[in-house]
Amino acid sequence: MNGKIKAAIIFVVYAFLIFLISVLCYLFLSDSDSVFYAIFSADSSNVLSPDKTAYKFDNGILFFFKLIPAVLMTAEVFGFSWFFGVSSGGTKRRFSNRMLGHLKTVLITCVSCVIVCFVTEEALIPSVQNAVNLYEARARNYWEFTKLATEHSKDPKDDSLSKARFYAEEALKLFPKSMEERVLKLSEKYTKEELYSLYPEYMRAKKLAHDIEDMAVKPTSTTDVVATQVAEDIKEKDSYSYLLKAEEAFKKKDYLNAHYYAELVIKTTVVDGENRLRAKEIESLSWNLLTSEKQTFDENTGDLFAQKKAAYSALKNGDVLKAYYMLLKMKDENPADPDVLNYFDETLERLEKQYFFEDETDDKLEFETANNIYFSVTKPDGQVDLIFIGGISIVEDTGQLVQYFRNFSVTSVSADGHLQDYSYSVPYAKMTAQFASSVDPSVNPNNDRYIPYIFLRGIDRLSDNSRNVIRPQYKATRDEETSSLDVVARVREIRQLDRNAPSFYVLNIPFEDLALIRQACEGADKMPFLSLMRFTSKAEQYGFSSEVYTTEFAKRACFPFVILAIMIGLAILSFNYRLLSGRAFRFHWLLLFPLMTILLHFVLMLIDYMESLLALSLYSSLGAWCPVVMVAVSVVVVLGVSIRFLSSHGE
Amino acid sequence: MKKSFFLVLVFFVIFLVLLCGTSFFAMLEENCMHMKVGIKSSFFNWSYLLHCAVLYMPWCAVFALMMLILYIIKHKFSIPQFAIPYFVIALLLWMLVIPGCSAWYAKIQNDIPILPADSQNLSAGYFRVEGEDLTFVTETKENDREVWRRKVFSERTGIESTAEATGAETVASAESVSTGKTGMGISAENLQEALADSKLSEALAASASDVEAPTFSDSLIERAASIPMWWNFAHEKCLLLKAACSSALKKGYFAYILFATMGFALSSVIFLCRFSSWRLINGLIVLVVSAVIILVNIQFYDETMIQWLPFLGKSWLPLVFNTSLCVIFMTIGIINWVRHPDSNREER
Repeated sequence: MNGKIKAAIIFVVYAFLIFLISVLCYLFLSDSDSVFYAIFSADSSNVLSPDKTAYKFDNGILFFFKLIPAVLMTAEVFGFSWFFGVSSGGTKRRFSNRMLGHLKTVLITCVSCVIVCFVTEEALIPSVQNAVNLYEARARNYWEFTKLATEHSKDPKDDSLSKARFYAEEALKLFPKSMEERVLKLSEKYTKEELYSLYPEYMRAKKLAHDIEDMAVKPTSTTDVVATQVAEDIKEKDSYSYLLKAEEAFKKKDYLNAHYYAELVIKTTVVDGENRLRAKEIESLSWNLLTSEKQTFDENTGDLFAQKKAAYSALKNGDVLKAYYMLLKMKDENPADPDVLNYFDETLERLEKQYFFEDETDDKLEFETANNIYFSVTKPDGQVDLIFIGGISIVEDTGQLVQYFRNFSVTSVSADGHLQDYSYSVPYAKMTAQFASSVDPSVNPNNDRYIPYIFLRGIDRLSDNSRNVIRPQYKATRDEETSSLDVVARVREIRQLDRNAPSFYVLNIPFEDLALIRQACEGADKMPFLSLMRFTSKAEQYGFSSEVYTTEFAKRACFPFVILAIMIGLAILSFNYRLLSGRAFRFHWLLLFPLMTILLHFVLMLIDYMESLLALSLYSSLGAWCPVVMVAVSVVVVLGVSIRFLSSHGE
Repeated sequence: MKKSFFLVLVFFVIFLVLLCGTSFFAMLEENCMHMKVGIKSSFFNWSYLLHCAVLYMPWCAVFALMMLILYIIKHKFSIPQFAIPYFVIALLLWMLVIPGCSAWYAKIQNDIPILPADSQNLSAGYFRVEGEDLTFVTETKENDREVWRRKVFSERTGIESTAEATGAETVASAESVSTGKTGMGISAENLQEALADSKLSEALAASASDVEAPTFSDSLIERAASIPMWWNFAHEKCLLLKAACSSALKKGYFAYILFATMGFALSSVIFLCRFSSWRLINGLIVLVVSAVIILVNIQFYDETMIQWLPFLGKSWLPLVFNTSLCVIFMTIGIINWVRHPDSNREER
């Protein structure tokens, strides 16, 4: 027993030393100018300077985690080799009872080692890898933003300066130490004083935008008692009370309200009953009267009424944007007018079905969950859309149902395989999950599902400001050499396309697949096991190779069995080469541990490679059955190796 | 006597198992190198299998000899029982089998050729990462291919001037890694330049194209194969050693003997099989020492190393190094034998 404890202590100390050495090596030897770069390759020039130490440290930990199977196996080989010697080998017979007892020990040890390896592989390595990726992504974004800021600041156009400042600020958030002088350097148009005077103004405007957003949200929040009361009142009233209101308003010749309430009745009723027909009648009558009626109103509210009417007809004609800005102005001037508030709410509701507010994206850049997402979607008519997203920020408290896409672009490939000449991209897009039936009425509501619905147009919340409008922009897919005439024609064509650019994009894929795709883009080896399992059958339809993902899945599924087989195999080895009884253990033998670890690590890498080759080749003949066959084979190998262990015998 | 013959049998069994395994996996590797995603390929390819079997036969024989030492360590043999068959096999191996295999391979190379991987005409409908670009190949009705390309993985820009300089380097190295020809490898031109005034030049330069590790046709398959980081390095060094062997054979008997001194050093590792009283340690030492011998011998033929340390290029160096190793191992073996004549026996 004493010997076992000693052995355990030796291995714990050894593992700790390996950990220390790998971390230290990464901290001090991992730069690209180091001779050891080939082994400890963590190039800290990939990350921003504040992240450098943490980046190297994490890479060191990652290296250690990858060494864990080899370290455990070293411990196993030496430990068993010594243990079998002490417990004096076996009998001369094969399949002796003593070997059965040994097998029990071996299996318990190996299975616990396999569990450690599996947890490391599936839980610890991904979490550290995430941290490492985050550092790299931050640096990449920082470089991209500074590049964009520099480009925009050199651009003579007026609005490019505000864009330059925007990107410069985003870059600053990622790397605060690079501070203001960089921003100053970026735009030579501003003097230092001017910039300092502009900056607070900009911040004030930003704050104002947030305040107003709060106000817009408040009526539905529970803190505002009055508003909640009103909301509850509305809930209680049925469509009939609306009808009464509409009729009353119609009698009073308040056609605006009559039309409004009549429409509410139509909205809240589904069956074409008596009420609904009556409401339709009132609606059309009041609308006709509204549009034909000459301006007959009293002096006091006349101007407001005209504005209301204009806004209302803009809303009815589908120009929600115009109605929104008109009502916004009215709301500022007459914050108490119930009509204005009513219409404003409705306009906002409709607006949010078509646009998103540009300021929503303001602080999303810092928290990008994923970068460089790409996939393809095949439409029913055979057209393929290639979709690229520069970065995704997820609003977690909505259950991921709201996401913001940076640099969203769509390139179409026609059904006959030709790349279309123009593709569009939008700097920001907002994705919300919506029911498929609400987008496409032909979908049966019984097997409804969430699909991603992407808003491509962003507007300014406060004013009708074309500068802050986000909208898709077209550009040519190919840079072919063209004559000057063609260039003119092309520019004209692009302008034409820009004018008719779409305002939304419906991704007709299950919403959950978006998360799978996000993980798949980081590489099959970094995908969580369960996601990988679900993705293998879907890979092909999103432009990913099912070979790659199935192979990885097969390997991951086999991993515990393969490690178990190797460990039992090593137990046979250590039985065969055991320390003969009566020989004393020499301390200097411990110095050979690292050699064993390195050797085993190399062998493990080789086995991993052989496994991938086998899985890839098997996939072409077995297809989706490849993982099953691989797991079955590895289980058989485990059994075979166990039997071989039992059949070992002493001399 | 019976035990000695048994040892020869064991050698052949190990050799056959190794040969089958190696050529099977080498065949799979060739398969995968020619594979393109989405296109079915056959599992067995006899011509690849045969080609690889002949190509890797000498290596398998050398490794089988190494395994035989491990077998001898495990089992009880008296010194003449294992020494006689072992040295006979080693001598035959280095004097007959390896030159024979080399000649055979030269013949078979043209009969059963392996075509280089074709990285054009990639299968349509998949995204691929190529260097900094993301690409998507589409196939048109007229069987043309159109490639959508987008620069995605952008490099850093001139905000941090120091970062920019190193950044360019990293990007460059990242690209070369993706093609599988790392800085450690030898490109054909470099080799020719470097070899201009070297003794081994003519033969080596002629086979320079053989020295590069082959690449995968499809980058997606390459990524999925999870190639170990040392694989290309090892592969190139093996090919280098093979090229050195065949060039020595062409030059004549003496040149080959110089090359084959590596074999004598490798064979004399058997003297270390009673080094320690723990057989596990003995086995480990045999493996590690053999690996070191092979690594050092590769350096004698590696032009990039010769540029660093010019004295490595001297033709007599392998002879001196390997012979002195032989002598050292032999001394250790004899001392061990004198001190512990039967250290491999279990005490009862």
